[in-house]
Amino acid sequence: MKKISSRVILVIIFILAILFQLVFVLSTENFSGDESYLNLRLTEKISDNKFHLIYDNLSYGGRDLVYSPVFYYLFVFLSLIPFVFKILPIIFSSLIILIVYLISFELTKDEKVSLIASLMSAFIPVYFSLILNTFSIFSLAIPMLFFMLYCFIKINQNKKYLEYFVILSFVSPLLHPIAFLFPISLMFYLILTTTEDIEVSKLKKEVIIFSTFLTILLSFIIYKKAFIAYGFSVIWQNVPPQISNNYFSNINILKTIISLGILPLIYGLIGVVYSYFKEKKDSFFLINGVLLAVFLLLVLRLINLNIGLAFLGIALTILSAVALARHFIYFRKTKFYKFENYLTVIIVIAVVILSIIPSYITSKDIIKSTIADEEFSLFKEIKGKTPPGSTVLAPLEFGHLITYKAKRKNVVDSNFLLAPNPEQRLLDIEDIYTTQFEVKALELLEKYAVDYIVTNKKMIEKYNIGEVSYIKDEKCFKEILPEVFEVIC
Amino acid sequence: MKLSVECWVILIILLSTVLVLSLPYILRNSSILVGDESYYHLKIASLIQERGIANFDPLSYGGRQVLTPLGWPFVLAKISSFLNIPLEFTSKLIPFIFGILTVILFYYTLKNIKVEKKIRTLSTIVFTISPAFIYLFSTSNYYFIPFFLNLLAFYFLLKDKKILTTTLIALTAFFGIIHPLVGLIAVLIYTLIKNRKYLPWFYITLAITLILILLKYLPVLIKFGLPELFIIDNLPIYQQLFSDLGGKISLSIFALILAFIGMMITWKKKHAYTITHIVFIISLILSFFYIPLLIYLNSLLAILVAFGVLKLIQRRWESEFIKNFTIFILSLGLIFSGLSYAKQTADSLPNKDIVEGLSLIETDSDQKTVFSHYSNGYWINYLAKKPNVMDISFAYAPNLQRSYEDSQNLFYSRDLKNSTEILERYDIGYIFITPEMKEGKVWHEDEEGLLFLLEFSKNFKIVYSQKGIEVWEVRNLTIS
Repeated sequence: MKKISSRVILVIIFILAILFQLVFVLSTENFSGDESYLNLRLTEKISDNKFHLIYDNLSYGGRDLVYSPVFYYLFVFLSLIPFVFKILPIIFSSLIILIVYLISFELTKDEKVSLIASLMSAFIPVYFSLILNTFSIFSLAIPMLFFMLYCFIKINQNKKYLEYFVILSFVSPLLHPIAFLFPISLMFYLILTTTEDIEVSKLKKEVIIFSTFLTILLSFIIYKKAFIAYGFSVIWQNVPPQISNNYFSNINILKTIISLGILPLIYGLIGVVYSYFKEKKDSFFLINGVLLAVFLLLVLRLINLNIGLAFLGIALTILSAVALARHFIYFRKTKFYKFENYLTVIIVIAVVILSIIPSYITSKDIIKSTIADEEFSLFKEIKGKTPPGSTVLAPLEFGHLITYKAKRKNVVDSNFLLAPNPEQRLLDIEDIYTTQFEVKALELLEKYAVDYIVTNKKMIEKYNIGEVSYIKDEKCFKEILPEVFEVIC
Repeated sequence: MKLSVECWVILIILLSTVLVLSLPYILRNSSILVGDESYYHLKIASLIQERGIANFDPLSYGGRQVLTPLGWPFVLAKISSFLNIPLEFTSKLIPFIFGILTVILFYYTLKNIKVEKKIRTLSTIVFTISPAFIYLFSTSNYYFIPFFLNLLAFYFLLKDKKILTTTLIALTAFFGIIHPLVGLIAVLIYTLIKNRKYLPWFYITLAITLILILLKYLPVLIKFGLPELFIIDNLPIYQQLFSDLGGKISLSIFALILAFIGMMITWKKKHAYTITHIVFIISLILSFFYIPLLIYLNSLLAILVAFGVLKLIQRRWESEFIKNFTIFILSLGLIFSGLSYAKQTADSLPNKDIVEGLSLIETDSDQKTVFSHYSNGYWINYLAKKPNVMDISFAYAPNLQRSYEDSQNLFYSRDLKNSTEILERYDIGYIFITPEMKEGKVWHEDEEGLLFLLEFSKNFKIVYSQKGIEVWEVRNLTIS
């Protein structure tokens, strides 16, 4: 029987991963998480005005925006493709499969284990929870950062990798501030290689200097306003403590392990130990550098837990390849070497059970928690029933839907950088929904010039209230739509 | 006549200095002076022009002794009178001229201490585009003349002109205590390292300068004691140190990174630069306690940056491509800090509307006090020619704590009786409000405290409102 080439298998894995995601993504018209709607709105604004939005008159009732518009311009350019906002992020995010294969192969020179690693990377539950059914910059930024790592590993071998690296060093800080992870990883890489007395090539040192300075410079240029407003605290992105504390408050160890993937975690940790104590290659330390950088950012609460875990999951998957390669080498030395193929099958079955099934469950949960059609159409109706320029109050999770779908001003949304006093606003919104005192609520509604308040039960269930206590007062509140009230006094 | 390469280099540096120093004014597109300190100097200078040496300032805190160094306002007043040009123009022109002279002096000082040509050229360029340099010589401030005098003193020392050095260091005492001390320390270090025979001369300089300092500042200390430490809503110190984070007298983060690279490189040069390193580190640490020291640190920084950059250029790179890109990025980083600082300076207040609003108050012949945030105090004094309740000259301010508490009370109280008492106590005739005050500097809400009273009480009448600048006149103070 003719042996199927690795490339074909890789392409099959890639296509399977895309199809797997498509099944879920196309089952709903809506996106999961309202941040996708911010990205959609920013993209549409470029299409409409031929320039990106600098001042957003709807978010927080009007505020300056600080962001890099490259991702949005790219999607404006690609927007001729049908379903671009649904399909393209899947394709981008699935590129990680190819990149993990390339890096794993570079580390192990073993096609089989690299394919297993790429299969694992196709089904990392936490990666799905970050990018599935979202129009998110991370779908492009994460594969790009790992491709930069690949180029870095290969930089001495071929000049083209140097060129790719330089181009990506320019592009990645223009995509998202997560690009800072790369120079931090490289710093850890330098520390690890120095402590272990491993020679790092001159060219690698040069590109480390180059990419570090470039990332710092571009960040200062793009986020200058934010740096001046917050100083170095800009790295916390003005995220209110109520939100940043939530990143880590409900950590369930078992869930975290499952979301990383049990197999990548076990083999990945073995890979870490092996790469650190046995075979000290500089490229192993590069991946360890990424792990340490992500740990640092997580400990300092500089990144959201899901983003951090997604990076950890991918890095551990790559290191799994190292452990698996050792595993196979050892196996070949035993009397059971004839059963190698069986072992491969067992590992693949383990991947199916321990990665694909949890990914399936995660994906189902994501789609289940996607904004329902009724909620979505409610915002559409609000647009028809309210005058332009009015302010609509809804919980934080619906802030971008108010601006995107209803095209009305919100009081708060999740774009916190340079947002006016988000901490106080979140407290005040909670007060508005939960207070028993109408006077207090009216005072706060007046403070934010709220014209309409959304009291949809499902939307406000996080406040643990059945209904808003004072909303039935017809002197002050008039129901214009089911569970949407106009503030009239 | 054919100019030497060095002449060309100097000429180009000078042209870029002219450009850099003009940049805040070009970008500002207005002849209005920037910042608040400029207006304080204008006020004192005009007092000097009117009454000779100004001992009493009738406008700050409703009237107080002038205990700040009078060096710059005195120079400003005299040059303005001598050349018969307005004070405002003089306070732009003099720093500009001193800026150009400083650049020349900086270059030749480096030449005299035998710094190699490439390093001194690069240092001068880095120095010229640094935020601290732009601050010093494009705004009217306390520090630019003493900085120049100290540099000149050091230059004369290198040229063996000790009497001139002594005179110049002694002169800096008229511009503040810190400057003669910096001058003396620099001279001492040079004397100990290069020429110990100068020690007797140094002791004489030290004695003269200390006597001058004591004559000038001891009476103040005896009469008023040490100034109270009064720190309110400042930027965190680390943020004040860097222009990229909003600092005023500040450094570029990029330059600091490069300076550390420069330090690592010069470290290997058989301790030839040990003193530079020690002085640099000590000044950096001291800057945390006294930010204006950064203006001196900036010159050392420029030299270390030059070492850092040159080392990166001269290093044998594996890839020319990466080398060129890296150097391009570094240059861009240094230029970016300077440019963005120039833009920041250009955008700083006051603007046309503030000047208009305050000029309106000036037309009132009554010497009523104008109430506002203390950061607007200097503008109130100079542009409206009226007393303020508070300004940023906290040192030795009369009843500072009480003025602050009353101001806070007035800002945040909705109690008309309480507010009326305060208004009467300070004889407040006008309330001056800027958009920044409404956007978090004072208030966070539309009808918070005084804003509520202004809107609903008949005791106040708005007399000016333009782009968020409001002037409210305080009328018959009845509780209604």
